[in-house]
Amino acid sequence: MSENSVNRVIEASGLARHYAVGEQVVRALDGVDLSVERGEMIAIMGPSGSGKSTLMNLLGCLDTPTAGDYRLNGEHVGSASDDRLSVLRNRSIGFVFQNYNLLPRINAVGNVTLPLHYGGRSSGTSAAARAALARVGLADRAEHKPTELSGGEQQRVSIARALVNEPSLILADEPTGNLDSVTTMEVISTLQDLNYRDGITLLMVTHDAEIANSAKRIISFRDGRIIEDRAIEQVRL
Amino acid sequence: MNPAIVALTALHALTANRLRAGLALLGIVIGVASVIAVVALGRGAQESITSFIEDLGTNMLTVQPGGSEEGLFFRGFGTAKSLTLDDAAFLEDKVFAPAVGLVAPEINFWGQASALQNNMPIQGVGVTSEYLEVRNFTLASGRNISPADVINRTEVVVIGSRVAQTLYGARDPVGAAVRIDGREFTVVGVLASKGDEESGFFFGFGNDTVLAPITTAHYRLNFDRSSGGGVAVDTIYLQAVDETSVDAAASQIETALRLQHELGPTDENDFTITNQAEVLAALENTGQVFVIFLGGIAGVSLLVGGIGIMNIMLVSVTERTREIGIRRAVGAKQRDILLQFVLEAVLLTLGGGLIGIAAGIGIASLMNNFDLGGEQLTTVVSANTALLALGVSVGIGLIFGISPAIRAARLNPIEALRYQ
Ligand SMILES: Nc1ncnc2c1ncn2[C@@H]1O[C@H](COP(=O)(O)OP(=O)(O)OP(=O)(O)O)[C@@H](O)[C@H]1O
Ligand SMILES: [Mg+2]
Repeated sequence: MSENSVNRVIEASGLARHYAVGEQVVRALDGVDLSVERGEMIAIMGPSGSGKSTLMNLLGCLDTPTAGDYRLNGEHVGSASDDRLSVLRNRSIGFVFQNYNLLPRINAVGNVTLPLHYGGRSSGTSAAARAALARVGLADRAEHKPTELSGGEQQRVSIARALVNEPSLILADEPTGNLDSVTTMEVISTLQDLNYRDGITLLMVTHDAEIANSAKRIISFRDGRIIEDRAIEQVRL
Repeated sequence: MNPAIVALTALHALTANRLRAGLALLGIVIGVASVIAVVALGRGAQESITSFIEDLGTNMLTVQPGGSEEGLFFRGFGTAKSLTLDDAAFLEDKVFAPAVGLVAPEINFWGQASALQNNMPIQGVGVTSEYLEVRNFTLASGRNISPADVINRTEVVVIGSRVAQTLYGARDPVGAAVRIDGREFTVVGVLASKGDEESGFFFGFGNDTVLAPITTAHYRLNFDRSSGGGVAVDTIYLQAVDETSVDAAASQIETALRLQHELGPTDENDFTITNQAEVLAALENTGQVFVIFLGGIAGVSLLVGGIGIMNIMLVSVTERTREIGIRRAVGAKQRDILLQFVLEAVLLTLGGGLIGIAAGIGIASLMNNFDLGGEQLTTVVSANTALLALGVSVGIGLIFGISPAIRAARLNPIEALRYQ
């Protein structure tokens, strides 16, 4: 392994995901080469249906590619078993979804503890969860259930859940898609802060150019392919 | 994932939907409770039959008129009158039947007894002095029917405890007069109360009995003549000298009676010998079949309860598709999801099983000593049945919970997350 590849979180080449819909084949992702270094913050843009979510699912080990090669921290994911994919999702990846995806019946600490439990940890889980909540500024909302939180707060709980296992990669698919402009800024600055202070690698899908400018690199998609990939001058929020 | 946490998660999910969980649980509760109660009732009946027969002694044999083709429980009620008092006397002969001890013939008659202003129907039995010992009756007061009573056809009776109570109330019946079918008798003894307490249910008799000398019963109350002209008897009770010589006694009785009845080598027996141990075994067997049958019917309700559990679990899996997706996204393996849902089902049935056992024991103890028109129900709850029912309900949780759980575990994480 070269010096360079040690610092490479994502290494994908010719990544494709095709769906057979009746007679037709939908090429949701059609040959994507992508490499992401540790500590990057990347915004992914593109029109609806261009394959952004499909890519995020593949990178997040929720889905397996039809063709191509994907290495996460140097490990070939394409040939991994379902159990191994679960472990990778648990240890190496944190998800932030547009609709938060919190369990409605349990409180913030409970939701944040979940990845710790599935990681096999049984002691100090509550303290670790509270620390993660404090990290996103929600120390005083630990006992609240999702229905007792605002949209922005719920999204920050889900960010706490994503970072609690100290993953090498956080994937956020339109994390502010359901939020107003004020809470959007709260959530984006929380994510930016994680990347800036803790060096967490971050990939974030957004339709908003202003939000995209908070990243260090913007990748644009169209019809399942990358049409542009450029570094930008990051705007700190 | 730590099993304790999986269990907590499952418990949490159940308490989140209490009404639904409660209704699913109810199916199991009813199933288990009815199995426990029904089996307890069956066992109680079985035990009272067994103890009644053991009371009589397993070295007892009975001879009844008629061939064996009439079946174990119905013979002796036919019209054959092939057994006589002379046969009974002959069986006492130590030369022909050395393995036979006491011999007690009986004649049955039914009638109406009245004394003072009271009257009641009675079960009359014409007996000899051996009868009390052979049938395990004891006297509460007065004396037994004596051999002299039998010879002289004396008009005396020994009455059962309920007869004494009904006809004479608190008075002492000994020496008092009683009319049976219009004929006057003198009460010489009262039997000790028997049966109600220990053998209840089926065989509380003895207390309605009136014993008269067998000759008196024959000539004064009952006029059946045997085909040969002697005094016909309905049953001859015999005791083998000890429990090991029951079989020897049976074959000696057969030989002696065939001789006495002048049967040729090709003739069928015109009497039937029954061995009490055989009757006991047959009854126990019948009782067991009865218990299994009733338990099986109750078991069907347990099965229906299991289907209820499966239904609830399938609904639960569908409803919580998104939860499953979320858990998978944060690292749950298929087996974590499987375990969670199986455990939910098992906790449900385990809870139902425990409550059902408590309810079943409660119902059984309510039924115990329940008065059923003079006969008392007996129930016997066994720890084995309770454990079995608990095991079966946990098993039902496993069997009916596994398929919904597999369904949950196999869900595609992306599709599960998208589920609305
Ligand atoms: N399960 C599926 N079966 C068939 N086609 C699918 C499936 N999932 C996605 N697609 C198709 O793949 C293409 C890419 O979808 P994807 O969700 O990745 O788009 P996107 O870029 O995330 O769009 P948006 O901005 O609207 O979220 C779309 O044309 C979509 O219809
Ligand atoms: Mg999308």
